[in-house]
Amino acid sequence: MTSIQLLLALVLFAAIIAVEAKDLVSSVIAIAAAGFAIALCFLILKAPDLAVVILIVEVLALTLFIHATHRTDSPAATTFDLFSSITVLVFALLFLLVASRAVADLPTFGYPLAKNAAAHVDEGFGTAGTPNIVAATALGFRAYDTLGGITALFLVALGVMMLTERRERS
Amino acid sequence: MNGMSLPARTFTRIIIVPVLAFGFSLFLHGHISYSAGFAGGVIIALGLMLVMLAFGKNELVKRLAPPRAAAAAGIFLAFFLLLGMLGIVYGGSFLSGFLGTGRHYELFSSGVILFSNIALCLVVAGSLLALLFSLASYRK
Repeated sequence: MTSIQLLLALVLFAAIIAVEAKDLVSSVIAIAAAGFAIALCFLILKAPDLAVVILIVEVLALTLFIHATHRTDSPAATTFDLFSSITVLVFALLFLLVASRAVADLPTFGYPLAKNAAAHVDEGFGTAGTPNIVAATALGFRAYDTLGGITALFLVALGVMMLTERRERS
Repeated sequence: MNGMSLPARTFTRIIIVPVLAFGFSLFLHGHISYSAGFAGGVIIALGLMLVMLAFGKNELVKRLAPPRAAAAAGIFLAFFLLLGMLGIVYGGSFLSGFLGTGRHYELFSSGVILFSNIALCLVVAGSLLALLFSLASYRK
């Protein structure tokens, strides 16, 4: 468990750097470091499928962000503002208060409340025929979700294509 | 943008075949080993994006224009829907497994999941390629 806590501390540190860094490329790299640390967390929690997906998507996002930000070397203008600082502090304290109450009610790690996932894990090999439980869930039991997800991705691609096409002509 | 330097091009020539082979193995074999088709599709799209970054976008975008990639993605999305319809006809409900499972750990051992895995991977690859190439050819 301690390695996960070290990795989560690294995630927090990288996120603070991403907010506070002066130029955009540094904050993009800090965001990528946070994502890779989360992928390592999933690897430690024995979810290699999710770790692979998060690694690849982080590489994709890092490439896109660097492509978008390496020319515009504009430093983020941060000036000290008393009112917004006090507001952020009050809301952070309120969030911590509510979150500390909510965390106490969470079920123990490894013992989820949702019982139907256990049926997927037990019957996945027999019913769907794949030893890979993730594939059995994503393409067998929950194929509606996968269909909706790839339809959303396809529509995003069509929308971006349409926007860039129109800008080129005019 | 006319591509990168000579070492980057040579390294891309060496690395592109293992990258694409890994992506293809994920979506042809992933349902019985360790990963579903989404990762395979993203790996194929990223490999082709590496080729685009290393050799310049003109040749690759001319051959694999965004409308063509999006058309391929749409065709495989329709194939996924067709699998769902066949599930209504033969299995009783939408997207149900109607092919039956063979012996475990074989390639055709999981019925319809193999084909829907291939369709999922190619939809993801085509959509991401259309998105990336149209973003790359945005600023002339």
